Amino acid sequence: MDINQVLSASFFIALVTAGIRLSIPVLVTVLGEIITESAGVMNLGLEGIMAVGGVVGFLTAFNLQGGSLHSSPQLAIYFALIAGFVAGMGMGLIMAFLSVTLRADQTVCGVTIVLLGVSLSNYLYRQAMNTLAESLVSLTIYKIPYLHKIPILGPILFEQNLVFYLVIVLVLVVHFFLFKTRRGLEIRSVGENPAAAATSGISVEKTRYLATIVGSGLTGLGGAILTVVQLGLFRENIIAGRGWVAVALVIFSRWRPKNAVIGALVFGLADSLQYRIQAVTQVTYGKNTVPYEFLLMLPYLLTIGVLLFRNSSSDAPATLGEPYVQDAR
Amino acid sequence: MNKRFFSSIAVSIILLAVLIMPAIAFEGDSLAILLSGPENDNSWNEAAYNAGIALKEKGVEVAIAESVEAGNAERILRTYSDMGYKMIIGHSFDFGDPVFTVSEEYPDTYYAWGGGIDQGSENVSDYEQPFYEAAYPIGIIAANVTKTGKLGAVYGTDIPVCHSMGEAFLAGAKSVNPDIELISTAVGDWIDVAKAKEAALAQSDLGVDFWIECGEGPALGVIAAAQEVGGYATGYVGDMIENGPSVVLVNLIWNLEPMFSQMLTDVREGTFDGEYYRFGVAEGAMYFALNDGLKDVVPQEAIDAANQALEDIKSGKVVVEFIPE
Repeated sequence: MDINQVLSASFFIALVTAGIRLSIPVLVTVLGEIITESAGVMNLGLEGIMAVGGVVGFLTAFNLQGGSLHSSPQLAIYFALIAGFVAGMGMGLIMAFLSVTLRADQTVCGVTIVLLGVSLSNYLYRQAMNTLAESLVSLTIYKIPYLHKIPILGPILFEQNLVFYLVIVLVLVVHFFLFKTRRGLEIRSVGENPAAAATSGISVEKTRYLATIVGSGLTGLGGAILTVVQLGLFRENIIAGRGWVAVALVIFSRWRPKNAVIGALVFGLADSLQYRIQAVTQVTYGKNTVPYEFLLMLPYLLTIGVLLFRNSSSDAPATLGEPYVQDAR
Repeated sequence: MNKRFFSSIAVSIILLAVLIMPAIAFEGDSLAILLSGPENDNSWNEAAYNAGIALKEKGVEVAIAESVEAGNAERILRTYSDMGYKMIIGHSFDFGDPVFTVSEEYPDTYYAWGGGIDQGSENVSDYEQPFYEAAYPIGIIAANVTKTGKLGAVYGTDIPVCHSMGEAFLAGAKSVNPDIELISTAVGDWIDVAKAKEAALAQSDLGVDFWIECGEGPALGVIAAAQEVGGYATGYVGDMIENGPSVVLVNLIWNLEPMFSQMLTDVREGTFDGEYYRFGVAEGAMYFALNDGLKDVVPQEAIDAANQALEDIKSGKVVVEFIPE
């Protein structure tokens, strides 16, 4: 084996497929946070909300697969994803109450939500399960007829589970919702200039509640995709920092869903690349030619690098993180 | 003298009682254990938990705190010290600093931490984690099961405890077939199952079909990957068969009871001097256990050879080389 191994088509396909897998839970979370932040609410609690979505999703799938949906475990997974979404919305309601109604400092609220969510998820899991060993039946992979035979692109894009296709649709839906619908315009105007929005008859509070709850719902869904679809198990701290990565990627994406796809993919690809480089260099050269610590740094280095070259502060919703007080000025 | 005076007296008495009460030492042996994760993880933490429970059943006063974060460790160590536990074990590398800090405040209490780097003090002991010794016979099994001749090792990070484990696994396999190769990957995270799974899938693409893992996240990730693409995994320091009944072929088991018991004896007899406790295969603290459900996968002569290797390590006939990096 030699360097051609690295450049072969099968290596490339495996690399990109892995990159997509790693990016999907983060991408869905980023989409949710884009909606929330567009309305001016900075929800830093993603890590905790993902954990709650993850545990609720897992427990739902586990109970359905072992119970009433025993004969159709695939269907149970979709119900679990919905449950994860709803759990995320519940967390979003708490965040919205703290930050919109009580006008508390949003950074503090966010950190509180992280602590609450992570602990709550561990608590729920331990209460519901006697053992830590249970795992789920996973989703089948659909090969789209004819298209999956296209070289390279076929196996990457057209041999995936249904969730992959749903996430692509979700990106389009979120983009359309934020930029082509009246409700989306309301959300963005509330984020840019709440006073002006209020003057034109938009309820700032209601809009911010809506954006926070829906955004958190997507965050919960992201957590559920990780535990239910990708791993089929739940563990303490299973989110492992993905919520914080999502916070950074929202800035990277300049609050635009299509940029979020690029950001999440770059991050996922960098991650999958470093594991594959570690493995391939050992086969090729008999040892790690690049220190593995450097490779582990790669995704984060890339994120910082890309952020450096993107002056994105001007794209941020103008009142991001600021509570709105009616008649205050 | 007013009401306030009496109530403050009452409060003082209660406070005094609370302060004095814990100082009443336990009559027999007492042991407190701090775990960094859940007690039923089928792995690292459960190994210490099981040892604690086994000693409790033998009459030792045992307290166990699970899922302790390093930032909380000092507080919990002080609480146990105040309560009069004589021997307190922080079962994680991360509990090193808290243990050394608190041990200076309680010179009459004895401590141990899971450092594995031979670092102790007058009343603090470290203990070795010689997983590599039991990894050798598992390598013999792997060499007989692998179809591709490629083995995988997935580490949380590439620390000596883990690295030596992978190398001994390879050495065991090479004693059967010198052409066998090992691909090792450091995930960079001890709990991120998703990343560990990707690391294992990357190895699988290069032909790996038998893994050993160091860390709970790596083990769960490898099991998840093996369930998807085929191959066999090793249970990491505990019985992980229920995590993957069809892929966990063998468990590397760590029995901490003899070592904890020795620590209690040393405390009782006044011989505790901060020594580096070494309990490996020879002491019966480390061995492997096959998954009965997958017995047909392993040829009988491979099982015999692995058992023989375990005996030879015990007797000193075979010395497994410790390769830390």
